[in-house]
Amino acid sequence: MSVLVLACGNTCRSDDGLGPTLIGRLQVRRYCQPGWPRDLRLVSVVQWQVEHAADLLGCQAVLFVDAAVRGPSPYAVRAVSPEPTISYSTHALSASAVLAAFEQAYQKTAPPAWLLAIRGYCFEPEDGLTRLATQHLDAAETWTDRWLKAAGGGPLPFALDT
Amino acid sequence: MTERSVDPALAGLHRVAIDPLTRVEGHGKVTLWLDDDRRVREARLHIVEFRGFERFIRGRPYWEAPVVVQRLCGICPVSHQLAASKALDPVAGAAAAPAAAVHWRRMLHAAQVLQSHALHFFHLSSPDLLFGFRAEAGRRHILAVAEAYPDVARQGIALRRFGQQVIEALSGKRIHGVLAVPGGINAAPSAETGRRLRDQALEMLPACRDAVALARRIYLEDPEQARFAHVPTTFLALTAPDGAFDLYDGRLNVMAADGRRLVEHWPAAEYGALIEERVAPWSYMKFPYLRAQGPVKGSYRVGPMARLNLCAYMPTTEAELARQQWLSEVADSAGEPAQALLATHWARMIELLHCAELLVAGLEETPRGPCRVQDDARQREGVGVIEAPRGTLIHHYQVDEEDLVSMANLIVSTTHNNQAMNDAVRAAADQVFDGSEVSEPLLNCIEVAVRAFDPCLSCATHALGRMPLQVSVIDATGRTLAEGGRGAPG
Repeated sequence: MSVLVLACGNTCRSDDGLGPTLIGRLQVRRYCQPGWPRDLRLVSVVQWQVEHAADLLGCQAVLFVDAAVRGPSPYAVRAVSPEPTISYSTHALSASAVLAAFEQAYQKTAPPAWLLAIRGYCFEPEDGLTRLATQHLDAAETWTDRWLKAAGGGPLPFALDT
Repeated sequence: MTERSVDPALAGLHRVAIDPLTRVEGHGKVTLWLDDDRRVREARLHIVEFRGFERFIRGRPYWEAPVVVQRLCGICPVSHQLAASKALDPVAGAAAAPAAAVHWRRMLHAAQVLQSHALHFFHLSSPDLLFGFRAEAGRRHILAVAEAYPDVARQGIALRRFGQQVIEALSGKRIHGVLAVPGGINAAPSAETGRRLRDQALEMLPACRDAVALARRIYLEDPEQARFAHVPTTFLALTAPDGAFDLYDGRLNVMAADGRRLVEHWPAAEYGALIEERVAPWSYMKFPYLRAQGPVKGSYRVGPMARLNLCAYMPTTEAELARQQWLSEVADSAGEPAQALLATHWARMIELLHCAELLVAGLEETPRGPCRVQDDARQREGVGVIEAPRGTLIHHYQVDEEDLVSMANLIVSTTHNNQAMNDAVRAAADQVFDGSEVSEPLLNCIEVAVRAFDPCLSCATHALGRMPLQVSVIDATGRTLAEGGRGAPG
């Protein structure tokens, strides 16, 4: 059983790239970080879409990561449940909708999931993160390290203070 | 929403506006004009967002074009990458891309078409096709399909995922990766990668066969589908020199609605002598037409139906058998092209099967030779034509002495279909709109007509059954006769 970190965002739109940037940092650390799950999958996409339900197959836990336009800083974390939420376009599903698609398509209970929303400020077509968003990313990376160590430390369910 | 048209051709007609219809990676809208008998006399599909790629690519180094133009679309970026690279091969000094490069470009293209068609059928159109055009709006979305038809949802997910995995393996990323460059490709995949992907392609074949069978069943079981938004059209598509179905390369062909061949094996680089473009003041999308027929009679359709009608055969066994069955069961009589708009979904699945067969046959090959050549005399102009998932795609560039793009002309598939989509919207509205009540089924039927073309504005035409549409019926005095629609989300 694997642990999945599934981030979405566009690195061409400044702080919208927070999720993919976090994945990049995790990629660098994954082979020398004690306590992380042995079977760890790090996936970065532009948008969560219905086919990402397939990425949940065989997962014991999922961490969705996205940039937040508004909300708490430096980040907010909440547990996510499957919910077939209807939005304007099926090209961009919410984390809840991806979980719902998984349950409906595969007739299985979705793995435990969390959503890490990192606060961003600029979402214009610009290169690089803003200074403040970079600080938030540092904090989010520290939290993610704790989450991964908890996920790699034993059988689920595991509790994690946010 | 009280407007009087200044177009003399529309004088005295009542205007019904559907705004916004959807996004076009942006937005579009539909307006209908009714006569005093409440019949639809004119329909217009307006594209209201300005794209501008042809302008801002100017002044950029030509080698950036295949990377930049991919950003035109998040659904079929590979098509733009390939068309731009083909166009710029001679500019880079490659009269023809080397065989190894062509092979892997073809594999990338097959994966692209497969995942795009899977997306459209399973995720965008299946809610209408499985639940009915008049199903409750709240059910017309992919999650409801997954709940009611989990096996169909699983197949759609698997096919889309597989196609994207091939794209990622060949070009580095699922979206906006790079394989094709002017002169060839940047690198060929390893033999091990090819074998792994080929094994996955084999596993996808049953799902492709099921998809063809499902699309066929849906079409044949519903008599309404044969005449829905029916407008006989001319078709245009590439075929190989021997008439074979070919998504990557070939020459342009045109077939009239009655099956006559109007144009055969026209050199793609000379598209300008075949096709002219006109503009309309009410849309940012141009209206291509066949020069010989003129702007009124010269409209045509591109895409899966055009390709299956125009080719002599498909060079993979199962798809060719499926195509012959499709022709015999859709065309009104032998020798005539298939015309039923909604049979396009079935045609799309036959192409999906063909692409899977191509990938099974080609992924394990390891063509020898260079990936890239620049040995020929460099040109200052190039045209690349390809059959994208939605239809014929044309990229045309001119480059100056400093290797900067000085001219770019792109005719994307959806643009070719502009008039055909307008005609289909009018026909759909004529069938379902009685001129009084603005109903949910009306709104969705218009969306169904547009969606059958799988236009690039499909990002919004498949909105989970509840596109924000506002429809008003206004008489010639400006009095609102009826209003209805769905509210727009924030």
